[in-house]
Amino acid sequence: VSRPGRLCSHVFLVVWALLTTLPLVWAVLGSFKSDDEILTDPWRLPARLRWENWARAWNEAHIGRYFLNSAIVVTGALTLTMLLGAMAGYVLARYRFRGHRVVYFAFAGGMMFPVFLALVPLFFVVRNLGLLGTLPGLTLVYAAYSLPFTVFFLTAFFRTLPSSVAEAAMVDGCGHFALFFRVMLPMARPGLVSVGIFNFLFQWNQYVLPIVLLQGAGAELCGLVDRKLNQLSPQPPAAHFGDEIEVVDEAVVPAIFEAEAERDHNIADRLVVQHHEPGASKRTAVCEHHHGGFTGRIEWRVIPAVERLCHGNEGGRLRHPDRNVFAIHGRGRPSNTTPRQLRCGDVVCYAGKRKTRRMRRARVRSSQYQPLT
Amino acid sequence: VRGKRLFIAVFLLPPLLLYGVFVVSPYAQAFQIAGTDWRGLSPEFEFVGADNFRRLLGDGYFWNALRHNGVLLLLLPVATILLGLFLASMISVGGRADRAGVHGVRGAGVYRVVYFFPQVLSVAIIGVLWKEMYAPHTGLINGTLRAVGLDGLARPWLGDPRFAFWCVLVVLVWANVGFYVVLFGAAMQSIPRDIYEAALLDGASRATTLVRITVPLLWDTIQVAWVYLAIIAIDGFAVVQIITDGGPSYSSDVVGLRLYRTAFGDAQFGYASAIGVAMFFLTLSVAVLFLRATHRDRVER
Repeated sequence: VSRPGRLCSHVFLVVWALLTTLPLVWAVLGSFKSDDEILTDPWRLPARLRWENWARAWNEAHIGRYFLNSAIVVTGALTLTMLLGAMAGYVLARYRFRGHRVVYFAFAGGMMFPVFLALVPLFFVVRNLGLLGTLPGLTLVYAAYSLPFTVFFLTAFFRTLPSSVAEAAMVDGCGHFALFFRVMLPMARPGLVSVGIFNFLFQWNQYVLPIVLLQGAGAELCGLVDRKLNQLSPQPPAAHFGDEIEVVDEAVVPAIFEAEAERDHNIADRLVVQHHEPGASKRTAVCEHHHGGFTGRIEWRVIPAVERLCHGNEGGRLRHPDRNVFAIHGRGRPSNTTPRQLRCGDVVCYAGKRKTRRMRRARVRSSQYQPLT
Repeated sequence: VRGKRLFIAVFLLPPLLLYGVFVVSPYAQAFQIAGTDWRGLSPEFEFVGADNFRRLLGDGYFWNALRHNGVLLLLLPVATILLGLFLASMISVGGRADRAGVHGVRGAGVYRVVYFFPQVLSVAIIGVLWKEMYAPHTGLINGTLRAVGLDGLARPWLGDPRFAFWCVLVVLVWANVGFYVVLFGAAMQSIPRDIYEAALLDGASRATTLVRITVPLLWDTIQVAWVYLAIIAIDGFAVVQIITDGGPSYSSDVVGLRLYRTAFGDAQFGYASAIGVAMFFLTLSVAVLFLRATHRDRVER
């Protein structure tokens, strides 16, 4: 390859290397930034290394606890998977018995099914066993769902091991159990290691199983580090129909909420302000559904100031870094309506500042909100 | 003989018990629940036959989600494999060619390690990271666009129904390419060097060697890659749930998320199971199609 050609391949490789590393480096740098620095220019470097952020993650967000939970579950599940998988794989590879094929295909067939199919019944199976929201429950489920591939792989692997060694051991008076633990298991080490790595990645990367199975009482304590991470990141405010939104901040004025309900792309229903007190120190606006029986898509209109409120979420109270506090109370929802979170793409509209009274519109963008004036 | 029986029983029963309780019975129950209107709160429910499936056929939200999975199924493997092949071939054969043969590019090991980074992160971290990357004001993407003067291109990526889904696709490609660069790279190592040298002597360009030599010789590996990526595309739940939560206006919804919301948001467990059954048949038909395609491939050879 010519010199320009080599240069050209380096250019492509460096570009992808940057695309891979930049987000990661940015995230690491972000861990040293103050809230202010995070919320201004993304290219800005932290003024100094704020190790106290890490201390806060450990002390206040209890990241250590969640990390430990993840480690406990994956260690337990991995041990169980490898032990049970090796046992089943060994028996299926080396012994003939009635129902052999049925057992083998029952295990191997498990690889065909998407986990989502089992999600609903699994939730109730685990709940009925009293294991919902517990670490042992999650451990058992991880191990069970790792078995199909493990058994399939290890059966094939044990078949490849020479039978002469086993026969020699048997002739020397070695029993079935001793043969497995003292001869076959050590011989199978390469296979065990590779399937173990695969299982570790599968279990460490689980997302849907913990989300479903760590619900209910005690779930908070058992949050895994991955799941927790998502909850710690800025969340969209959980405003529902009929929720009362209290604007404590004096800068944000009579907020009129008007939301348009869209049913299959056609604006059908309207959500209007039910009640609004312009003179009060706390200004409230209640959104209520106009017709009821809403099923379609909704677009809200929201104040531009609300776009900024969603950095950090403390048990129902949403706090803006500038300390403008917006409290959201869940006052009785109107019947017939589905509670719905304010989500990205929702359009929210409000009458501008106190004096201008001009209607402003904003579209809620993702968890971060951007005004569209 | 009795010792042997005891041994088989002791070794087979614990795994079978665990597997039966947590895997086989839920799968079996799913088909049963799919035929009911069970809402989970009471033990009472009625069999509604195929009502759930009839409802599924007319459910625009389901078809919308299914369409997104379909697009993922088409584009994710193609994009990831093409990019992986391109980068892997740049690494393995992009270097100097002299009398001693074709060389890998300088620093090949470094590139491989760097590309593999995202693979080490768990999917939840990737999701949270990219959600911040796409943030309209504070995200690195818009920040970069503004920094180089392309303010016009900066937009609220995840807030726009036109872009949200493609943003998710980009994240999935980003997260997976590294693995396939390493996988294809390892497979390319096993291709004899002299084949490339012969081709280069005959005047073949690098693009030609990639299409005519590398791809055919890696075909088996590419098929394996396609299977893995198809599994990711049919799922897609974690990344979508974290980054967009299916929004805005369902523009990035996927079937897994639909099922999850129906079950654990709306408590319509019967209907959710029906979605699960549909998902199973989707997986099954993709598998059958794939086996067909590769079978014909083998017969032709």
